[in-house]
Amino acid sequence: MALDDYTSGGDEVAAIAAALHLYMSDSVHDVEPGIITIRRDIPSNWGDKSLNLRKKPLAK
Amino acid sequence: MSIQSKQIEELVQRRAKARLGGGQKRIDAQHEKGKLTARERLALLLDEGSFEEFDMFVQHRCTNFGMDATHTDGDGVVTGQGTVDGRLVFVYAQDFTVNGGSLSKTMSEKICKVMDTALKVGAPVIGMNDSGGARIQEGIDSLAGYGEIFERNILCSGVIPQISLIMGPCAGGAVYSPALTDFTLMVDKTSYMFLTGPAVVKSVTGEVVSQEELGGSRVHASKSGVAHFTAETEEDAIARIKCLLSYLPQNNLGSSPVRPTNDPVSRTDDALNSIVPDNPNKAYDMYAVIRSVVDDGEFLEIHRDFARNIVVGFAHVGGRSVGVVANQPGVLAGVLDINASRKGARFVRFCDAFNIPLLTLVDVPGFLCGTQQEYGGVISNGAKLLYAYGEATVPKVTVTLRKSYGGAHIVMSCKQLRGDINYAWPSANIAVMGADGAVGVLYGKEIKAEEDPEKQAALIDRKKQEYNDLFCNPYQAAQKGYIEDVIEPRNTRFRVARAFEVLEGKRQEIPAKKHDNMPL
Repeated sequence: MALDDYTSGGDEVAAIAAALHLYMSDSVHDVEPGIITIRRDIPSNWGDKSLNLRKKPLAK
Repeated sequence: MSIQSKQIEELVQRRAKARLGGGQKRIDAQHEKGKLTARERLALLLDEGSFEEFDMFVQHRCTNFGMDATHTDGDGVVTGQGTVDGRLVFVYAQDFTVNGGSLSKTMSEKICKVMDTALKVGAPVIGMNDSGGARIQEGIDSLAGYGEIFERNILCSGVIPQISLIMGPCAGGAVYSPALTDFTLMVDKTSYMFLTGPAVVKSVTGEVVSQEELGGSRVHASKSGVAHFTAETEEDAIARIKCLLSYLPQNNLGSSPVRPTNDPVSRTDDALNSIVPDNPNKAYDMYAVIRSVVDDGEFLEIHRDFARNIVVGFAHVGGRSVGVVANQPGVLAGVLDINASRKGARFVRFCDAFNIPLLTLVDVPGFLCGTQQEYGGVISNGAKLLYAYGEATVPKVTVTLRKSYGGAHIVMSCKQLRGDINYAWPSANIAVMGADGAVGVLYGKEIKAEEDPEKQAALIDRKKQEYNDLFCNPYQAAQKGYIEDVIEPRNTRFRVARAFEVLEGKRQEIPAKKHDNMPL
């Protein structure tokens, strides 16, 4: 059965074609893991904000 | 009734009187102008029941011009502390119903006390300005009061966030307090800021100009850059400031509040893979890129109508506040000019002062050229942005989307300005200049020597192609380690989020010095 029988215009066809194109071309993506494995709950004073303050020059 | 009961009754009566400010008649007049009173404004800003007022019974000490016969409790400003979404803030709101909100020495002492306390405990200060200016009857005392407020603005700068709302007149010396604070919001139609009003301007220069044209909210939001935000109503203004506060830490040793989100950092956006047009001279909307990368597409823009060729504002990535700086290819092709440099520099310095990491999205063809820019000091203004990025020690993540040429490439948080993690999209061109300009310089003689126009055009095309193949890509920079990686655009959110997570514990020092000498 022709696709036209189900659709009233070209928009639906275009959307389906675009979706198929995206699906078919999926293999060219640079796939990322999508998971950040760094834990936020490990305490450390390393990045204490006061350490980034400008230091005063020391007089000799 | 016992003596103590009478004393309590007196206290209640005194409070009720003080809360009336200049009286019901003047409150009504304030409402007729479409303005709220100082207390109504504070009630909108602060969490219900959180406000504790300071110095409610303070009166002025002036005896000149019959002032000893007119005393109002509070002396024209309501000051104190409260909370906004549970966070401690210190506030002052000038009361126009008392002597037109004019600044007396005692009013300045009240404001200074609030600022001193805020500085002691490390909490933001929010000032609501609605004042006719100095209280002339007090003479030099009033000016001394301004000076003391300005000094505190300076001492608080970079330590606690300072926010100014302009909700009425703010003229003469008074304008310098908002100018010294971090953010200024003006309410449309009812607020204005200028050093000298229209009458004086006319008498001195002959120029005829209205209050609105001289110092209205639209002027300062789009031309001078004095106003970071505008709002149609006072209610909108206060809502905007509450939103702004949600991105800021309490002080320069704090972190911004974390905002939980259901927007996963792993979310990819295929639209970014096709957002950069094939034609390098065609624009695209940088806002779409920003919304795609940040949590829930939410972005609080600062200076929206000023220097629109650069976009700055706050967002969250992975729940944490970040400051976003992005060239806007849709306005002046995203070129950097005097105003864009000033706007960007001020924002970068704020973020650095308050530990807010910086995300920089680059698509910059260079600096705007011409006599207007050179005479206006584009060199020293451009250097402000360069300086701001170079001295910033907060985490700096940069993504180059398309063009990053010449001096503008260096300015926009390049690796050598201690950029922490620099990425580029495959569409990035990181080079000294674009192909059009480069071919003219490199092959000018050769092109001129070719007399046949068709052959000349073909030669130019060929040389441009050679140049593009060699330089107009991100891989030259990647080969030399000037960027960490070339990333697929649709993965930008994840890579940026992970980069900020990596940099969360960053610490970096700058040499000991009294202070720097940035090009102002």
